[in-house]
Amino acid sequence: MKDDAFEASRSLSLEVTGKSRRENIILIILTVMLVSIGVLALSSGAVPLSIGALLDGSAKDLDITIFSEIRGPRVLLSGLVGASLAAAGAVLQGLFRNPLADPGLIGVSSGAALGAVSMIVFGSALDLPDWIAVYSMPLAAIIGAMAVTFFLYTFANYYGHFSVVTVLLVGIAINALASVGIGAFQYLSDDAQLRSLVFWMMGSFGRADWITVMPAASIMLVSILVLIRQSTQLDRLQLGEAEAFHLGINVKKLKRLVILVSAGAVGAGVALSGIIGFVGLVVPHLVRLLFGVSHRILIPGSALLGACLMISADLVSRIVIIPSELPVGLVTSALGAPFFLWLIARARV
Amino acid sequence: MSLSAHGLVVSRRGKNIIDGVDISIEVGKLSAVIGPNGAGKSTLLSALAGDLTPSKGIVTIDDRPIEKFSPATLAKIRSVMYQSNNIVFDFLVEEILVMGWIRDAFGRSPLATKTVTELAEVCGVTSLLGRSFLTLSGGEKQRVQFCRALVQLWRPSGEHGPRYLLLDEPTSSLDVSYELGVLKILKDLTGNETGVLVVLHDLNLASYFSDNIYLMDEGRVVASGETQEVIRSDTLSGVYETPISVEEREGKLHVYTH
Repeated sequence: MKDDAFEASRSLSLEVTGKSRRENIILIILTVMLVSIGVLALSSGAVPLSIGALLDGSAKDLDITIFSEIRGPRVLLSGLVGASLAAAGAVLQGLFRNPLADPGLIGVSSGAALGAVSMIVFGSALDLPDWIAVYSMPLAAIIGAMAVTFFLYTFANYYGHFSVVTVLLVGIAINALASVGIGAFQYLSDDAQLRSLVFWMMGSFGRADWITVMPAASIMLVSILVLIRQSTQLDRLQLGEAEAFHLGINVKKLKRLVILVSAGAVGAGVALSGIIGFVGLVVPHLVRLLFGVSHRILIPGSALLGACLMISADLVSRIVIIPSELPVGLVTSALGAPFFLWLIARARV
Repeated sequence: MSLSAHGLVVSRRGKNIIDGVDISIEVGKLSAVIGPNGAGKSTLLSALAGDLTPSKGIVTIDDRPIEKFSPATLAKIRSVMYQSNNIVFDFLVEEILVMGWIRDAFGRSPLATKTVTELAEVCGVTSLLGRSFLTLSGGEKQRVQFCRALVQLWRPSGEHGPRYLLLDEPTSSLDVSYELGVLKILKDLTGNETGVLVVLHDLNLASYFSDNIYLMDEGRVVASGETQEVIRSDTLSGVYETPISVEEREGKLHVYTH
């Protein structure tokens, strides 16, 4: 009996220390993957670029411009949007304790879209100075995303615990309401506004430039880092809200923070790239299947893998029909929707 | 030193679920709450744990109102085990146990590992450590949750001060040997500056192990005191509305139903 206990203690201690080492290795591998995909995406496209030539200074001026003014911001934006949607998906699933809570499916992205559209239509009337106007669309989108998440959570609390199905049904309703709003704005908008609305709605990274990307990029980056810091608390929340409180967590504060920050991540992403579906659903599930369910690996792992997938999807959308482009939302939905069906078919949800 | 409630009233939808309860969980004592289904035992436990705000009355820990404690401070002096089991994601048992470790942020210290290993052995869950929590049987889950509650209360031998452990039917799915095991562990804890309150439905377990018993019915404490004052044939038969007899043999009380 004594020997058994000793054996067990040895194997556990190996397991636990081995585990944080394993987490580090996974995150390093994902980071290397992200960098390689990033370099590939920077160098491929309608005009092939040589990263080597860019680094040693022998590149042509046109190549440098394409790299720094077109592909650079585009790859950065697609990576951060992928990371934000995936991290926010992981965190919302944890918050609702519901494996199907995707920012797109439950209506958070639609809320953000409605906010952004209202800014496209009314923004010009507000006559904001440029340095504020750059922030106004992400801000409006964040407010929209926050309103939906907050509504969902209050609704869920009022009716006790949300079942998986209820969240999705409420999501359908919110998506429908948001499309009514967006339709109304389309009706109200003039020709120029309608044109920018339609382009924006298709979901693309094609118009990324540094001036529009940087504000949203900083919001997304900060949001992701803040979400990662909540890992331990989100893990404990999985025991139940009462249990998390018993373990010393200020549950109300945690929920408020998570709602605010995940809305920041989704809203800033949607403001710049439109609604891109399924990333927030597929990526966290892949990470759970591959690396485990603890938020310590789930949130950073989802962010890195989400960035990899989104940069790849954008690359695919750029190169399949050169010189034209597919909307990237089409690529992610084509991959994500079958995965969603597979998740439903697995009785686990 | 005690975790106490005075004049506690908890109402929901106009009905008093807890209707003027006074209770005191003293350090060094094992107190049991017994009573028929729907008597308000679990609600009382929630109020004592600080989960719900009473409509009237007050809960104090060592004479300080419970709402004056931050969640983090409270977690260091009291641990709770509920019956609920609504974990959705596929955590390993070991991960669940480490969540009980609140002494450092990540539960990755050698001390955390050592404590979890030792307490897993004490609770008989060592063989479950690497398994998925969702695949466990009801009794196994209960043993894991019990172990997690103990991990939370762990402290080095030099550290002192009162602590409290509240448990809601911790043995409801356990077989006889684990049932006894859990109550022996609770009894041992009372020797280490801990006050234990356990909701039990097994009257024999309650009378073998507890120092104090609170008998509840319809939101009130209808009898309380030392075990032999409460475990009496007439009292129990009246509250449970079924004939119950109590015999004393070899210094222990035995409860029979007919």
